[in-house]
Amino acid sequence: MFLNELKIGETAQITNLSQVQVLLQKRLAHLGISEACEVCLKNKLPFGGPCVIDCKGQAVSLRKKDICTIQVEKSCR
Amino acid sequence: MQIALLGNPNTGKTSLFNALTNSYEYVGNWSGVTVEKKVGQFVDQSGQLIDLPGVYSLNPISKDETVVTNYLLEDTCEGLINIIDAAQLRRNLHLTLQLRETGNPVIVGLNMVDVAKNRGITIHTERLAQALDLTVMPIVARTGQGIDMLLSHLPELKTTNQLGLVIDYGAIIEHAIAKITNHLSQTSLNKRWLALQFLEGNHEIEDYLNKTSDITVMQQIRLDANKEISASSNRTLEQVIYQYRDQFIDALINSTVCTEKNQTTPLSERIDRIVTNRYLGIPIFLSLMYIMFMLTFDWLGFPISDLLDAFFSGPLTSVIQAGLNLIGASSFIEALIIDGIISGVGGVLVFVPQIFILFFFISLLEDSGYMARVATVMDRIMQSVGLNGKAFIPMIISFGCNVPGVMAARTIEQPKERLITTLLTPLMSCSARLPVYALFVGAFFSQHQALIVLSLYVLGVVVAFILAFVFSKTLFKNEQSFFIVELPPYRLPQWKTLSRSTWDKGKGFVKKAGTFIFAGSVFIWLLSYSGPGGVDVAMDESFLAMIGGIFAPLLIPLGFGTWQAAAALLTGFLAKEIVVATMAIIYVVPETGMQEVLQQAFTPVSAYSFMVFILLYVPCLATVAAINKETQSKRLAWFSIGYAFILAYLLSFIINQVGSRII
Repeated sequence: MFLNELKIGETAQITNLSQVQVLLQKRLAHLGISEACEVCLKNKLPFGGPCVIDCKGQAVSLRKKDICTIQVEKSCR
Repeated sequence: MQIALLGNPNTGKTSLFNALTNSYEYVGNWSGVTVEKKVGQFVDQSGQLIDLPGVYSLNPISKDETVVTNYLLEDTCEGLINIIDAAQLRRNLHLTLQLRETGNPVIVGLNMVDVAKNRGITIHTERLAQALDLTVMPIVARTGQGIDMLLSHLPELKTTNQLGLVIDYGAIIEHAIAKITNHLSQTSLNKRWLALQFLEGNHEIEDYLNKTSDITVMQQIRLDANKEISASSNRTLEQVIYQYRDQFIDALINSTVCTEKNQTTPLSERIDRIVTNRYLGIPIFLSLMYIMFMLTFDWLGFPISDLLDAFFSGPLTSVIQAGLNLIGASSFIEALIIDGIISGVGGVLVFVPQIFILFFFISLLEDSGYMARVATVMDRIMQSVGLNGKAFIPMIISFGCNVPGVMAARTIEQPKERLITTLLTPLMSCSARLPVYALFVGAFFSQHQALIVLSLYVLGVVVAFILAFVFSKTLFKNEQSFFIVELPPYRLPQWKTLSRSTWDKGKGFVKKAGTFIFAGSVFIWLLSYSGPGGVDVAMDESFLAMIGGIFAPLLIPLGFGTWQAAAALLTGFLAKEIVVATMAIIYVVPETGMQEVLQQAFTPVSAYSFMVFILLYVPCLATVAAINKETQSKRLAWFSIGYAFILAYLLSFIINQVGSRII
């Protein structure tokens, strides 16, 4: 599934970032967001606006269309 | 001793800089040469500290980040202070490793150890120091804790014998590094670091190497290595290098950091639930802007400015007049000082309180961490006009001054969006335009002062949005766009940081009043005092009237076709405050106030038309210079003048033609 399919407050593990556009991949890496990281969807702004995610205690906002390219898997816990 | 301060964004770099230094100046000035490189004197006078922009890595993506890489390539310093956010150790260490690879002596300031502790993170600094072969000083930059210790360790940097850190990047990459270092010509920089950064695809390094070495061979080596890597791991060279560093950091963190689970929701998250709320986000932002605006113009700003104005035109003028009489100054000198300098410079200085209030609020927005939220909340709207939520930050900064606004556009990653933002920020009404509005609303719209001024600010933003839409659809080719912004934890702004950055922004205005506007006032007064008929001529027969008269007919359709308005607008290109200084000199009439004279020269409609013209017509000289420098294009600098002038003329024309028929 993709990150945008999570409900607000849900946590999942990133499984694949290769479909994300290259520059954004680099930026995510800078922020320490890489495959196998746990992410939590914190907020979705209306009218298809950006989403706020939390990864390792830092909040980052990203556009919806980019979040749709981040593949995740819900944690079993 | 010269030392540079580096770190990730939002790690408390500015707090540390302020704690380590007591006096500082920007290298370069408002004309906009290098505002990004800030130099400070250490509190113990032992040397200079250079503040560099926050970066995540030495391989830059946005333009502001290239400053850091170029500094390391081209300047020499005796050491680096690397500030690290203890709560985000893993991410911060990526930069630390790269800094250690440069071979420059590094000392680490481990900041916000208190915040980390609250989150249940304990770091063994000695073990960290040992593993990285450097000194690690736990500090809390905001309170000043540990700063003395950090300072006392700085002299060691000069004598330390730190070797560049060597991480094993695996056979393929190590082989490529060896081959590239063989091809590098003689350099004082660390060759292994250069080779690594080159392999990572760092464009700044590539440009640098291109000056001295033949890089086609190296490019081939990189290409081969990339092929080999992707064959074995399906990843790019850059990703693999990142992975090796990540593994190194992993091991480091395992041996140095203890984390306990902490279940309380951080305060920032609770605030964010409200200010970035789906429905409340935009209303909250607009209310904050409204409060900031009303405080600047209505509740606090106007009364103070009025007091100051009364002081300048009353007691100060009479004291100076008495003094001049006492020393028996000639009538020429008296007129020059009273009608020229006091009118001109005083007319501008009156607005210093308002401008400082505005700058104070902009600094508050910057320091608190709210700006990143603004970018998030506004992104959807900005996206619909072809821009990026981040573009809103330069726009807010531009309300203070357009020059730093233009520079702040650097943080936008995509060239197209950066360019459009750079070109459009001058449409934001800067503080230098404020004196003009204040003068005119006082004379014509005393019932609705704040409302009329607000309408001009809103007009600037709306016009910028419309043009952004037009430009992004027509002039500039589309490219892939993305938006990512880190939401740093909220921080209670500190008085020292806040007062420093307010003063920093505002002092340019005061300085300009003392130099530029002073000289301009003298010059304009001389032009108004002399004419073809000699000196002390009637104002209408002065040189100033002649020059203004040439352009006045052009302005008739706009409602202010007088030589006075034309002369004021001409001088306004230098700096928009001069418009008021010029008018104060032209319209100086001893018995009646300036507002009465203005009421005879303008109608309410033409006054509004004039204010709109001032808002939009050509950016000031300093802004044009900044645009020229940022875009590296004379053509675009001219374009910024041209489109703004046409726009101003059209809008003022419509307002005057429509308005004068209705009213």
